[in-house]
Amino acid sequence: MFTRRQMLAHSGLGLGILAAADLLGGDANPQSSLTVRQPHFAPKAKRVIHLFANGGPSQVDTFDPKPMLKKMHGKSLNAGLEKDKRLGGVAHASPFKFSKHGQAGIEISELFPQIAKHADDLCVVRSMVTDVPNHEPGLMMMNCGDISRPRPSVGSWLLYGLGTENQSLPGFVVMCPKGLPTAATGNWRSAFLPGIYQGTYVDSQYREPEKLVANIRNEFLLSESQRRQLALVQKLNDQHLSARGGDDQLDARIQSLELAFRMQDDATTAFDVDDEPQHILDAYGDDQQGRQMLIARRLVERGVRYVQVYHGAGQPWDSHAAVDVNQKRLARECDRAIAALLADLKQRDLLRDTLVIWGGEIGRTPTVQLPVGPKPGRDHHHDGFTIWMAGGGVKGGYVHGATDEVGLTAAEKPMHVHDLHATILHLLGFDHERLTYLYSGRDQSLTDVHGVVVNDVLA
Amino acid sequence: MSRFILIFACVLLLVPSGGFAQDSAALREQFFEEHVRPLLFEHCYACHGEKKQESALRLDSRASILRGGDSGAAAVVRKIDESLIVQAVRGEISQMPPDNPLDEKQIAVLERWIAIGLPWAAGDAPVAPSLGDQIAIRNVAKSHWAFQPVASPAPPLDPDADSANATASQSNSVIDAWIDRDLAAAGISTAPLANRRTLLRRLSFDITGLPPTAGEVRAFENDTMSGAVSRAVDRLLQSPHYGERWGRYWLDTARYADSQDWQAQTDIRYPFAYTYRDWVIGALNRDMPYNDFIRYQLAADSIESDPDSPQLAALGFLTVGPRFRGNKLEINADQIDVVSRGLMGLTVACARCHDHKYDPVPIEDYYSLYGVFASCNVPDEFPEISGASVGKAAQAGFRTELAQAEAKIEGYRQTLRREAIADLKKQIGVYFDGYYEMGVTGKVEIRGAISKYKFKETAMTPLNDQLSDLLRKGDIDDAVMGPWIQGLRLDEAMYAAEQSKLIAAWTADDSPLNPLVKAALAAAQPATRKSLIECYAELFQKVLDDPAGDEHADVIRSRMVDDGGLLDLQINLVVNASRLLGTGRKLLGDLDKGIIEVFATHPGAPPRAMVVSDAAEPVNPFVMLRGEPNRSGDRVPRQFVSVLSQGKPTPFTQGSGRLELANQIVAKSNPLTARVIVNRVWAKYFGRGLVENSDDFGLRCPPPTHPELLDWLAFNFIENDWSLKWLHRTIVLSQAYQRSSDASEDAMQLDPENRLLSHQNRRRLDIEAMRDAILATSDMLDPTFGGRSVPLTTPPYSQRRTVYAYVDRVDMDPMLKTFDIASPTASASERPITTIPQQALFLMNHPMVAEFARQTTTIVRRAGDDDAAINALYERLFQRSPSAGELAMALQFVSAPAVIDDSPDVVWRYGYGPTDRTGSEFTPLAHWAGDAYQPSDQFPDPVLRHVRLTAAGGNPMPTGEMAIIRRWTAPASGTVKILGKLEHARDNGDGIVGRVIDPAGGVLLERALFNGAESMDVDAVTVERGQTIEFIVHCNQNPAADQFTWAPQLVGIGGELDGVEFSATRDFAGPPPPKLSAWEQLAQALMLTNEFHFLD
Repeated sequence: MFTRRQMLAHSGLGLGILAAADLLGGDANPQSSLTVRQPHFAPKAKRVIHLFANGGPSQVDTFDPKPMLKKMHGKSLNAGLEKDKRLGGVAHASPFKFSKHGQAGIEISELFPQIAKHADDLCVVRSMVTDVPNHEPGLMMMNCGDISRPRPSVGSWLLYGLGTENQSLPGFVVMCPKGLPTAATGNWRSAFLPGIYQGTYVDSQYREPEKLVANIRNEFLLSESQRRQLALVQKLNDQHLSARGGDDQLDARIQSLELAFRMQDDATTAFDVDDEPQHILDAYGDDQQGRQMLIARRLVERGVRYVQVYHGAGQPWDSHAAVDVNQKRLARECDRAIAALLADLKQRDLLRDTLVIWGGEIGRTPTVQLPVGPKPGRDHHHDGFTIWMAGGGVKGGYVHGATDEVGLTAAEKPMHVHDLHATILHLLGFDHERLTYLYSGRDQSLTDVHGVVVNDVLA
Repeated sequence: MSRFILIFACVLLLVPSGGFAQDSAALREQFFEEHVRPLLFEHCYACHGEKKQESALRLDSRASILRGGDSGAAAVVRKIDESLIVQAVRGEISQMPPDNPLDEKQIAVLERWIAIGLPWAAGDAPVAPSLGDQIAIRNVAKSHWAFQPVASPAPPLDPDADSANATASQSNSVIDAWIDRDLAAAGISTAPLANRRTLLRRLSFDITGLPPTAGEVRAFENDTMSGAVSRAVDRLLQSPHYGERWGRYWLDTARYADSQDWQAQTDIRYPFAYTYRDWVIGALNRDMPYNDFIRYQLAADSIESDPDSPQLAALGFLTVGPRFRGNKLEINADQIDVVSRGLMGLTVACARCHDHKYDPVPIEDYYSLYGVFASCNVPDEFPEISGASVGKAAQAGFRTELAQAEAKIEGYRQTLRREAIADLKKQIGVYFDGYYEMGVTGKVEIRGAISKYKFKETAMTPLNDQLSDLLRKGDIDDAVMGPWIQGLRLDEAMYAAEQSKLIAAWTADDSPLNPLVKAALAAAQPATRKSLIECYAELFQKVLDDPAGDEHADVIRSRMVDDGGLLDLQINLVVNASRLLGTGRKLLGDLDKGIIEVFATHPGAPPRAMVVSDAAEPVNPFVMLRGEPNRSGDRVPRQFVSVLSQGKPTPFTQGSGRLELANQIVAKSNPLTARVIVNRVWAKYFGRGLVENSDDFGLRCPPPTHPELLDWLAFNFIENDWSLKWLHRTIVLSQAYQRSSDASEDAMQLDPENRLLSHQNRRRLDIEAMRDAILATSDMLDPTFGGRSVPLTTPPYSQRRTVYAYVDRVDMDPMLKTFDIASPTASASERPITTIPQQALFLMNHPMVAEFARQTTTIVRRAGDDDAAINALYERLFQRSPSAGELAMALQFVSAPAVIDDSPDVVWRYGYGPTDRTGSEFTPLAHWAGDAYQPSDQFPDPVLRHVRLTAAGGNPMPTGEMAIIRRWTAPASGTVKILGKLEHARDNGDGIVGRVIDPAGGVLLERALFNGAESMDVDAVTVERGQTIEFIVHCNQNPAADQFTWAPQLVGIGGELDGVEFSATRDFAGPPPPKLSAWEQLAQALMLTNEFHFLD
């Protein structure tokens, strides 16, 4: 019976031949390992792609039609709102046409003609609620379940709970082209969870894999030289280890060197969209959004647990002025790519167990923002906005909850972000009250003392 | 009335056996069991039972009901109407249960139960201490080991007591007495002492964070006199590197960073965080007693009288934390956490919303501490501290730059005010309309008003404030504004009722009003408040527009524009108002950043201390129920946590109470502080503490592996005047510390986790030790002490010790992040230890490591021949000579034939040469500036001036005989088509000439351009592998204004190149670094080995 160490010795250097799954379990502490772990019960979804329309898209211009706004256009919605600095403007009808899509007949605006073709896969939640109508706290709530305290992000919790299926890739990847979104790295922090659970940020403006993954390419050694160099390192490590009669820590580090060597190829391949056939590249579109969606698929296909894709740096969807022009531009940028991602996942039978989430951290007011300039915009709104989910065990062709007739408040089945989190964890096989981590004297959890699983959205 | 009748009816139905007055206890209990308990069980326990306690209320014991939750006692014995539970089920306060209200019959049961005195089943065991049950928790806490006074146990040293054990306990150290006793009892033999080399490596890294030199190792190996170890330890503890090593650990506890957390429009740098870091290092090096060390960090301002004392920097402990976008409650929560958990291992922050669930910390304790920190302010400007040497010239330079940045802000502020006042003068009526809607009727707020009237927020907001003030405090008999005040103090209805009387009085012959005001009112006869305002507006505008009015007009004008007048807007109000909209916020933010930039980067900036100071009036806090500031509970005094206060805490009386708090924390009677620090120091030396959880000594923390030893260390640490160096010395002089890390067979069997410490634990170097060791072994370490933090992984690579790395909370340095540095989000005394391939990737591929390997190689090659160089490499990295086998392996490695570089040729090159390209002369632009190739690191170059090539363009040579050349070399044979556009966009000078040159030096295409653009497309060029196509530009007679853009693209359309694309912009990059030589590869390889990364 061979020990792992002996097996390595017998495989020459073993570079690139070991099964990945159990390699990183070398740490004495199982709480800081990335090996695959089972959740509390059989999951519907095994991985998540979160498409973050950061900045807050306007629900009444996208997925939540409000014909009443047409009638009220230019009028005050409610005298009581006049002093409210966010809602105090007059009603502003959507300049975009809505029509019904799919067998389910979900109403979607003309901004998303391609996504609309997937209406029967979408579970549209029109009654999202968060705590504060502002970007930073909104992002913190959506990503970490708390508007100000440093808490771990959803992706970190899932990585902690499930580990990851591909040890040669980071288990939690965040893409955002040309810089960081508002609130920056706080969006994917692991906070009190061990650092290996934090998201790995990738600046997706680049095409070249070596610019996407840190230290993935060696610029000062030819590949063959590096192979020789590592062979020497491992030979010395072997001698060092056997002189000490074995030690798990030493062993773990030896294996991590092997993995790192392999990652150079594996991660490069994973991020290299030029690998794809032309028809796939065409379907996604050869632009920033297309490429990052395509990378997202390539990553989940390879077992990455949580992929988050931001529309862009800062808060691009934040249309305080010219809400019509801006939303049109933003939707045009991502519509084809998102639709292609859904189609591609489905075609590969990945949509079944991949949960796709689209939405912002807040919504926008159905009223026009004050002061009204020549190009009207919409202000922030937190009490009734829209997100949608697809795949991963959610009900397709379904609309959950509703705002009132002018889109001011979540009137039916309001769904707080805590509820969304409880539901996401449920889909991935966790009781949100039991996925905990002991820190600072308490069993901490993503939903803290809040959150209810929303059974209505489950398939 | 009907309710009572109903109750009696029910009671009679339920309990047929007579009245309650003479009921036996048994009967009442029976009533409880049969009717009340099932009801509570079915309707209440889901939210108020063992698992959950909504609103901190638990209804499953009589005691917990009487104690109640956030809103007070749930029931009052025999007082139905005063019992909250009854009010709740009746729906009089928030309806309970929320979804299915109880029916009348059920309500009656509860009421009766209260009326008969809340009987409960006598046999019920009291519920186990439930989460948050402070009474029960406190009972358990009474016997919890960590809350016991620190004892002074006698070490089991008496040799007569057990002579059989005398050989086993061969040591004379107190530490070993306990450790060896337990090992002997467990039947585990101890490992032998580590050899001298291993021991010195261990001691050096552990105490100073740096490796010993080979010479030091040899000297130590040869020192056979007794006391060699003790002498080595003393030397290491006296090294200033000791403070750098252990200071960094303290910074983990202090959640140190050089920036705050993310905040929009804010320069998040803490330019002076480094003064705190340096204070910590200095204090440790001076061996400041630990109790003073803490006192200074909490209250240096109360201890030091000098306003510029360098000791004030200690207060950074309270201020280098995150800022939570300015949320004061969160800032205070962070301070409470760093003080309670960081210094005492007590998780007081858990009691912010409710009593602690596990530990004896009621919510009142949290708010007592909250009162202390809420009574402190961070000043707008930190005080300068003395003691640092900043040159006079540098200081003067700093002051000039700062003054310039400040003048910019001041100029901007003045402009804002001037423009606001000018706009007011131009259209006072519109502003008065705005005031009517904002300040009088309150119908709109400022944003709505701006939309409607298109005026300046910088004028409207301060004017609104001035006018509101006037209305509140103004004199109703004022000759100008009197009628305004009188009128607007009335509501609309009253004004309507009073107006005729008022107008009559204002306009009466004997009215003392300013005649112009009187006349205007008489003419306008204002029937509404609005028309009153309009009347004033019209008059004021007229006065403002006509500077030549009479003396009465002068009076009015003076009331507006003179000092203190209506239009004499306060500059701070104007500037604050400018923050309303994003554009204004950004302008101001950018100017503010300009100031921080000077502080953060100017070498002449005098150091400042990040202090806090006490507010003039300390806060008398109240409990915030559920942590919500608008749900206030009882007031609590500022005082220490109750469980550590021997009976009753004494309220703090001196200012915020910080010094009193510090004194309580370091009081000898406090059982936690000394135990916690002793344990943390121990943990660094052994890889694990005597207590496993070094951040939380609460009830859930398992007891120490060696309780007496922990207490002995804590007690004697205090007795030795809280000397940390005493503690270090005592620990490392024990045999337990000095043992080999090779475990014996019986140890592996009987104590696989090595809890009894039969041998040392093998430990991986942490990031500081690892990076510093690479620097030190290559003679690169810059031993400069203190000062501003430095970036770690951006070139040119800093050679300072890692403790001086800039720690950015938002954008953490990739090396720090990858190698497990403590997260600065919150206090941490343990770091996670992970082994992930990203760490290996960093060491394998990061250019910084390559540079260090190069440097090391240069040094060891000086040693002589190959054998000597390899020997030197081993001595530097491992402090030993290589074995014969290792030497042979290394020699073989460096002498193997070089790997053939068959990677594709460099495709693009950047240079210049004669404009006539029939020769092959080509001089590369030697300097890479990060975004351009240029002749030297100076730009403009002293000789060649603005010559450069960027991704998409460049600047030609100063003479037309020479051209700037972007050269493409074919990596394969085939045919390409060329696309591109040459543009010259300057209307001065005399333009440029661009050419595409074929492989033979012939001109494929030529375009002369002046302030215009031309296509530079070529349909097809066929090339052999290695041939070049050049894109050249030269100037005409006048070498000025010749900047151009031209980013050619080549698309393969035939041969091997078919389908391949090349783009000047996409492919643009810095020059590839030179490859590592075999020797350099060897040096890097040794830096990658486990022997380098682990301490035996």
